Amino acid sequence: MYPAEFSYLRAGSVSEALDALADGESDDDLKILAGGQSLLPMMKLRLATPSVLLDIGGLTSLAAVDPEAGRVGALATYRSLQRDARLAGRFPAMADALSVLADPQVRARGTIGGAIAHGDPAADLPAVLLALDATLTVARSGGSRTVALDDFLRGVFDTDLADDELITEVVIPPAAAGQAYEKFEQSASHLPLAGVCAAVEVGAAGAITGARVAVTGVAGRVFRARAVEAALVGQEPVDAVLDGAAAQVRDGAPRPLEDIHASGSFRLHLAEVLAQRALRRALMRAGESSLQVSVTPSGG
Amino acid sequence: MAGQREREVIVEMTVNGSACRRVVPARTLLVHFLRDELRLTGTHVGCDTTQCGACTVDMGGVAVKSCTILAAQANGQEITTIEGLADGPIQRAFWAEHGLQCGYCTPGMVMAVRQLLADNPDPTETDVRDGLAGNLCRCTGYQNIVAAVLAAAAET
Amino acid sequence: MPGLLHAFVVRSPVAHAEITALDVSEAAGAPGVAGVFTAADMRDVGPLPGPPGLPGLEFPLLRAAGDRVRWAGEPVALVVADSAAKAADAAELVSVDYDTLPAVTDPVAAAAPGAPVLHAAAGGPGQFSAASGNVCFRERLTGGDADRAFADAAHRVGQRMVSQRVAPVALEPRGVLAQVIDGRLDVRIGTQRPHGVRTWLAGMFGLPAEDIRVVAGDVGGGFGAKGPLYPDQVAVIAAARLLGRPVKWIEERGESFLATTHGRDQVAELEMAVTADGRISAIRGTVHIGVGAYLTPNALSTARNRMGPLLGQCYDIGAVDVEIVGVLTNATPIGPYRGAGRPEAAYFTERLVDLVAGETGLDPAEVRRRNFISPDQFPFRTRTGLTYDSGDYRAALDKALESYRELRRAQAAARAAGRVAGVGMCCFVEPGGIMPGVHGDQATVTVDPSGAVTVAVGTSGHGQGHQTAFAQLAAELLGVPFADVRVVFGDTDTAPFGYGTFGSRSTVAGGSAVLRACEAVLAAARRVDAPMPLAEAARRLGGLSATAAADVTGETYAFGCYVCVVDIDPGTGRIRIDRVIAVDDCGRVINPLLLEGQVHGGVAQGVGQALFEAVRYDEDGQPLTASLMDYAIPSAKQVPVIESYRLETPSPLNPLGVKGMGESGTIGVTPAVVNAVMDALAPYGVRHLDMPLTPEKVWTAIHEAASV
Repeated sequence: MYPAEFSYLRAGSVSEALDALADGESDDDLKILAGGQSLLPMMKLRLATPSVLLDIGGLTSLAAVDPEAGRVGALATYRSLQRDARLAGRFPAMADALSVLADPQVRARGTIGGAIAHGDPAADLPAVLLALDATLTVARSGGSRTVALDDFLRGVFDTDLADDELITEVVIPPAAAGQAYEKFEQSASHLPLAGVCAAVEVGAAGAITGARVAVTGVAGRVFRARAVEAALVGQEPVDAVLDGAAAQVRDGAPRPLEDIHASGSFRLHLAEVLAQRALRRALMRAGESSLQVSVTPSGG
Repeated sequence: MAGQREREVIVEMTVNGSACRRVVPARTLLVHFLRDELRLTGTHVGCDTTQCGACTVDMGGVAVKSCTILAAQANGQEITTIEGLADGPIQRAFWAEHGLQCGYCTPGMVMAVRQLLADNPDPTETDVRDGLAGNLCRCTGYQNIVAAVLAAAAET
Repeated sequence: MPGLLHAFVVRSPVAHAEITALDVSEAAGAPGVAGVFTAADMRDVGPLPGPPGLPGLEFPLLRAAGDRVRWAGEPVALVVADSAAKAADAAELVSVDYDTLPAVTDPVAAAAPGAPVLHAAAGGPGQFSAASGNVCFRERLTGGDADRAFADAAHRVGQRMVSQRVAPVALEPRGVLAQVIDGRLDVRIGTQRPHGVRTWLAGMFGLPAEDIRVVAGDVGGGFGAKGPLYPDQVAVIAAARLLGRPVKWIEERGESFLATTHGRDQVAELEMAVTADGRISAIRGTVHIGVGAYLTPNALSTARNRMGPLLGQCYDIGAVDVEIVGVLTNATPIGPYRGAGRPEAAYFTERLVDLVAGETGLDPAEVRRRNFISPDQFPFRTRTGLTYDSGDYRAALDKALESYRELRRAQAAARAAGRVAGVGMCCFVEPGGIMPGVHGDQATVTVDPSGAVTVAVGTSGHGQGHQTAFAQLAAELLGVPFADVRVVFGDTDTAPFGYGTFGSRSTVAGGSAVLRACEAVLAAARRVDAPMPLAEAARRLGGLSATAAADVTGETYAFGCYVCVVDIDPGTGRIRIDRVIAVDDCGRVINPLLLEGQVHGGVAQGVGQALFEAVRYDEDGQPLTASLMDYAIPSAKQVPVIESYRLETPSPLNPLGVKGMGESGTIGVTPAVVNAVMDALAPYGVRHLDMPLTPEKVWTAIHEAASV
């Protein structure tokens, strides 16, 4: 309950923060403090013992959100994103995830950038961001780079973020309305045992022209279920196709996590069921009215 | 830069309308600052994983878990704890509906309910149970807490 | 508080080991540290009261080099510093070398030959020795002729069932603040038993009880686990005396999962003999209880007094032959947890009753009806030596099943629509009102000359609303306004002697004492020369006061019937509880709102055991669920709406006619949920699943059955 001692720095500007990060590379174990909803719990249990904390919470310029451009500042809190109707309108799958992640108090402090930087394999929002092909702007003293989220997330609490870097922005390209996020909770932590985001495009002829399906909670990092996607493109959005595609989720999936809460095979099974459900809801949103959609899928 | 390489910090904040200024170890959590420095012991610690919500306070107009905020992060902020709330429909409803037993979770519940009703003045039962996702109670089974929230919503 | 120090407990990180070295010197020299204590410093403190007749299993306070640790979390050393954070820092500097040993946490495995043995041979006539391995008690409960009943049985229905180890998780962790004030030991402690703590501390420290003050204050939940006195708390108190300064200790949540006593951990292999017309003629078998690394008095009484003898539940069962085996395991010691033996008994029996229904083709309600003790059989002496005071089990069942036909119709319709739906029930009895000692709890009623009334009781409420219930009682008995009555308890300096609050006892014991004390006050008031209101009599007499003890003659038996309706998502195995219908009969009711509150809270914990909660260890005895991230206590979304109903069959055993019921929710709902789930899964040919009924477990059962 009592973190180990550390030195505390508060950044007054983005450039101050980047300079501190650049300096910090040489000596101390320095960690960035944004909302603190991932880092502070680890420090309270002494699972993380940084010697320096750099508080960037005052950098309000990093919290700006421009829904039209799909640009979300890294310090935007989940709560601010949840309350932005324009964002919910453009990215309904994000609204889905925001409504089921953490709890209201944690959402008031937790930031989108913090979640991504933390690299928890059981986090809701990264599944949505991955399915929506999000990219990150990552800054360091002297420049910045753009990196696809898919390339940024590497493994369990392992990302591509260098010690002198700071995520400043998440950029989400325009997306069609056909998107949804489905979650199955671990009953104690309420983290996803499995979470699936489906984003689909339907052509004028009624066939699926594009599909992206991302899975979280199941493996060491959130992943795209490319075999599921391939089984959907060019097909009619009917039950047999959706369920047949969802069944491909195991194909090419990274090795699933196993713990006291669920075996790897059950996690993969949940991913299949959630894919069935996410696809149906995504298609409903896409306005595919010819599909007879039932709430419970035919399989499972 | 503020707080250059210091293991102690100066924190200045307004709590329940009163300004305060203290020097504390940087690692001081807001909940411990409120309880131990300011003697405001109505805010409680019930867990170590940011789940139970017994530590919920209002910071800058929004309900947050004070166990997962450093006092340093609250610098310059306005904080309201349970002691700073005037008697109102929420407390009255908790009493009338028997929405508390041991009372340990209650301050955090009241602060969370305050936020819930500010965001959604006319919640359904499902909205209420969702809105209490960040607050655990082991005594009441939540039923009378839900009844209290709905009663408070009806009164306001 | 000037001079206040803070303690941090250094605990064993391993489940079973010999301590080969213990060095506190670096910790003792750390910034802010006032002292570091180990077993050597506790030498003058007597042992914690253990179970009678079983010496050699005393619960040590702290450890030293050469000692053995027996569970992950066992207190080893105590660091005391001028801040909690510095005590935590210094604790990391305590150096302990552990020579690990194999560990065992499952009670049946621990009782088997070849299991790692926790305790060397101890004294005690015949009841515990190394030859017993880890078996620390073995008792056979017999009555009637079970062998004959089984020989004559038309059906024999048996099942292995587990009431899994769970953690109470009161929202306020344990703590203590100890200091010496004017030569007296002053202890602030989150306890359910302030007088008990005073008595135990007096014995351990060799002090007269009047030189100790124990104050419970506001206690943030207990559920039984704040009944015992713990070694870590005693070590803190000892440190305060040794240092001559106040010392405060508050348990962290992760710590509480290790250090606060757990509940249940019973494995039953039981079978029922059933006649051709569905009458249960006998129950026999074996129940193992994993008592943990040290045997607390309550673990013994849980199995021996509360589980075994209650296996008959509401039924007139002619014979019983059950062996109860207490087994030491490398796990947290078992203590009281809401129900403490009664939920286990209800679960084992009610699961078997449903299996009897399946075997005989009778409706589960009908099996129960055919076997109930009938109202004209009270007081009813069970084959297990208990005497039930009063009851009407059929009335409770009928009330709970008022809409049974509709529930079954709805189930059929749901099944026709491809859903997996179930209805389950549980009938139960709940003994309450226990008086652990010879003398009853006391109450002191005082009427000031101004007319204000103070009721001081020896029970020790922590959320049950005694301030309201006892005030109502006193106001009605004395004929004064409710608002003029104040209730106090929890401070041994101002509360008369009592056993505290646990085991559903306070309305019976405390209420009876309040009644007698009020009667005595009224009798004293009659000393005035003419009849007049009590307040006036008090004014004339310069105040009135009387102390009386509860004169309850036996335990009461509340009862009830709970019905659950569930719907299972076959795709994921997730269970949704659609209805909980709770019918409780606890005799006369003082405050229905308080009663319902107890039902709701108990149901939430009972649902927790059925669906979500389990303490788990790996094969080395490492705790796997020492966090709310892994141990799921239900949230608002996970607890269903509870429909609570009341019947009133008064108890003849106390002047109020009340029965204790605080644990009914936990006892009644768990079997009802499990029976409902098994009813839902019956079409898949699934006979039994152990709790918690997790989605994976349920889905796997459906999936494996469907693929056969």
